Amino acid sequence: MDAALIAALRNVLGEAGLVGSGSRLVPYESDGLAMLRHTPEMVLLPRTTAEAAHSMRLLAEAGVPVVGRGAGTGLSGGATPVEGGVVISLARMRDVLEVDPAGRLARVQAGVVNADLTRAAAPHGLFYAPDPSSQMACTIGGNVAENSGGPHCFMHGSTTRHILGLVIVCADGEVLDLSEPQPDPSGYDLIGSFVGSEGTLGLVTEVTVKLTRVPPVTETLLAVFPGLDGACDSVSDMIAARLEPSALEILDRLTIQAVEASVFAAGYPKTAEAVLLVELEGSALEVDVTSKDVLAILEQRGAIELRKARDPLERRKLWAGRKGAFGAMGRIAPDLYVADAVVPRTKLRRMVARTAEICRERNLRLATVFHAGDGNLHPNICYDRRDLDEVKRVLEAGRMILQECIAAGGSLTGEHGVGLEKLEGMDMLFKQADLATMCRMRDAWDPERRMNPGKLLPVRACREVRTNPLPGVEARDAAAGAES
Amino acid sequence: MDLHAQLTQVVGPGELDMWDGDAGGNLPRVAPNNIDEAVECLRLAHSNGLAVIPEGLGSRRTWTHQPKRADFVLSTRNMRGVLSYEPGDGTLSALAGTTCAELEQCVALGGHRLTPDLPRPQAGTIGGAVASGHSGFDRLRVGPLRHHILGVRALLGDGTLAKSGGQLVKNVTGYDMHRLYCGSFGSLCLLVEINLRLFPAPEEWAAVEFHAESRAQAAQAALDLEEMRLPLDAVLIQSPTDTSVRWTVLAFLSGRRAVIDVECDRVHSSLSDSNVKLEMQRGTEARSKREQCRDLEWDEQAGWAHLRLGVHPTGLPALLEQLDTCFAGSVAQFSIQPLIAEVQVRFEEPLTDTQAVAVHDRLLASGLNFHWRAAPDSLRSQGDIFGSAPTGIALMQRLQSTLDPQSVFARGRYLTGL
Ligand SMILES: Cc1cc2nc3c(=O)[nH]c(=O)nc-3n(C[C@H](O)[C@H](O)[C@H](O)COP(=O)(O)OP(=O)(O)OC[C@H]3O[C@@H](n4cnc5c(N)ncnc54)[C@H](O)[C@@H]3O)c2cc1C
Repeated sequence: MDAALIAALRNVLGEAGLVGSGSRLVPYESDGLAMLRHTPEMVLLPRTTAEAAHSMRLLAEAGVPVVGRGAGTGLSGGATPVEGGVVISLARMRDVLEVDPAGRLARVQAGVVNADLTRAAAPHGLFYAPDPSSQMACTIGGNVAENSGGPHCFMHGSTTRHILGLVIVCADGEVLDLSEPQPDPSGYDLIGSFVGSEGTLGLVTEVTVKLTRVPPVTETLLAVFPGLDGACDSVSDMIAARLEPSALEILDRLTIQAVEASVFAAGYPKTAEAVLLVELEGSALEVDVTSKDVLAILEQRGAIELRKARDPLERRKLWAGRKGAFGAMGRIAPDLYVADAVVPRTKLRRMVARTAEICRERNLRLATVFHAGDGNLHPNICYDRRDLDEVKRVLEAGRMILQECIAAGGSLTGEHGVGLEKLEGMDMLFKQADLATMCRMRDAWDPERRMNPGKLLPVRACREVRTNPLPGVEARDAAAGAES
Repeated sequence: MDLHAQLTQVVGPGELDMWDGDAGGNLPRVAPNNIDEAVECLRLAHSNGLAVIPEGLGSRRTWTHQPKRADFVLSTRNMRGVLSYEPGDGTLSALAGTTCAELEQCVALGGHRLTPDLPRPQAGTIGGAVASGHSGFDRLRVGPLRHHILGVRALLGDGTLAKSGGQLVKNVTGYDMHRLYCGSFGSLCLLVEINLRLFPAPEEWAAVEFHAESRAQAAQAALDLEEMRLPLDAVLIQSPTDTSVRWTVLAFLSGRRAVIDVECDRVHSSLSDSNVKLEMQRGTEARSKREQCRDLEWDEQAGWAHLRLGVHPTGLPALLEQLDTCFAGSVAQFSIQPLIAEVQVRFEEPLTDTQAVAVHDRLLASGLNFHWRAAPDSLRSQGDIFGSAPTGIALMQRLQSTLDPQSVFARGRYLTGL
């Protein structure tokens, strides 16, 4: 990178705000999808919006690509600087700026860790509802960029439903202050269309979030099943019966074993083929009424054991197992491929079974843990990256799973984002015109496409969009067109 | 061939009439029967440099400005029908011209209720609701409409059909273009298909009504109800009418029957402790009371102006303070939803142009977030009925010009000339 530019950046950020070379760049080569890596030319660590904006202006003048980065826990290669350039890390922007209990909102710098926000809200009887399993590490900025979900998003909704305001540094360094909370956006919904844009439209430096009141009563149930089918069918039945638990999470046998052998051991029965965690929130009566209906479904679908958490400690333990599941899987395989497909909730059982079949056919070990209530599957395929043939089979299985989910009316990603990893899959789901329309939105924000280039949209050259729709998708769209 | 003939060629003679609306008198209004015909209409506009006003049933015609220029109206009224309703998944996909009433009926069969729960659902299309970002009477319970749109298919000005999102309750694939289109008042695209998330239809309904001596007391009563953590759909405060000098507080509850039974008892005992005289209704009576109040929100009697004010709930006290100043000298009725900090203002007599401008100027000076919904023509043709320009207007203009570079969708209908 140009020496004058480096000097100018150093002037803005100070020595501690620049990581320029050597092994200190290594952690910024990838996010949680470690199989795809690229070294950035430099890492910048601003402390304020003003510093970030000033740096962005300098980078804009020099035409340098910019990749925003939170904690790097992303699982789709979103923070990997695949086209080089500069990574801007929010690691030094970790202040909770304001908690307003009366307005039930908080204003934070984008580098604040998700769990720290809930910790700051707790003394006021409030919490921040989106709870990715990575919440002990991931940042609110990263959550905004990915529109992250979490177990309790089944009831409370993904990140987008909790964002009241943003401060965004645009590609040219302009600061767009959308932080004042409004009940409805005045003009186009810039915030709503920005959330989930995976760092390709701008850099978020501050976030105003909605805080939720801690429910009067929370009840956590653990249902043990002799197979995944019963667990999946229970969830589909609950949705069809229009019951409203706050979380519905399934773990399969291999995951249970990994969890139970780890520090996250939750007391799940080690021989169980599947467990379903159900959480209910509301008034004591609401919880009681729903709980009866839930228990009836679980029994009818063949649960062999039903356990209610007796106290907050037991409840926390049951959740620690679920939230620590990805970490625990490190024990059963050197590498893990975490897929993130989503299907209609009526198709859970079929798709979970089909996923297992696809892995079995390729002699791959599969551990499944997922947000069942939202139809958000996470087939985790175990592999060893040194075994090239296995890597090939894993990628093939991943592709097959996504194809089948799409054919079943599903989608590529429920919460981890497209990033780098699912770029190729975008044309299975979208036609050229759909993607070109998204490109138009991107161009309005960042005409030079310097923000996180090479992500989310399969754009190779200036306006070329690669598409190769599945024959099934074409046929279905044609049929829909004819019907209408 | 003149425009009339060209449009007739696309849709057939039965689907073209005259629209005596804005922009200098009559305009041809074309109502394509399907997406392909709508594409043809837009292509026609695109290749001839014409400007189009998108419309559903036209029920919110006065919610936007008169456009700078328009050549024809493109109505989705014939593009109607449910494409899929999945009771087991709680999702719905419908053509944009379907009325909200038709959708409500459809999803009720599977035990769901439609969001948005809008006033006069038979009078408006779901496309119009989404295009105007009109959240319903259930907003306190479920949040704004924009949170429940799962995906759309939309036609851009050049006739490109583009989808965003899907029909899944959770999905982060690609940009949420539908969030951009929601509330864009037809200034970016013509929505042709809408996918929505549904909510369970309640087993039981309850309506609670009582009076308060002042607005402040009524607002406090609403906050007290919220503190009780009741299953509330809406809480409404109405200003005194001709027959009463007191403010009315209405609370609507819904949910499981056993829960509503107990919660009604709780409300009863808490309010009777404070000597408040209470009326309580259940079941269909409560439901029709609720619908009555909901429909009042959008009562389009001729000559009545109507506007909506909204702030984040933290701003509610300041908003209430400002009401008297802003509306001094006009006969205004207020419906306040304190828990979502929204105020509907209806004028009981037609406003003269001078009165309207005076109110408008005071609102602008107050810095409140407002939108005239049934605006006097003087304001629709000159002022900005959407209030002060928001931050990010330059970006909004860029978004509009990248998505509709030829200005096929008539400019000037939305805020600050968009
Ligand atoms: C063990 C584990 C469990 C997980 N569980 C869940 C889960 O339950 N639900 C879920 O949704 N995800 C989950 N994830 C994925 C991941 O944690 C989320 O995507 C998270 O939101 C990423 O946050 P981050 O701060 O680590 O962002 P990063 O990984 O650093 O970045 C993610 C993306 O956001 C962009 N970005 C980051 N910060 C900004 C910013 N300030 N401005 C603009 N763009 C920015 C980056 O460019 C990148 O594209 C899990 C990951 C792991 C490792």
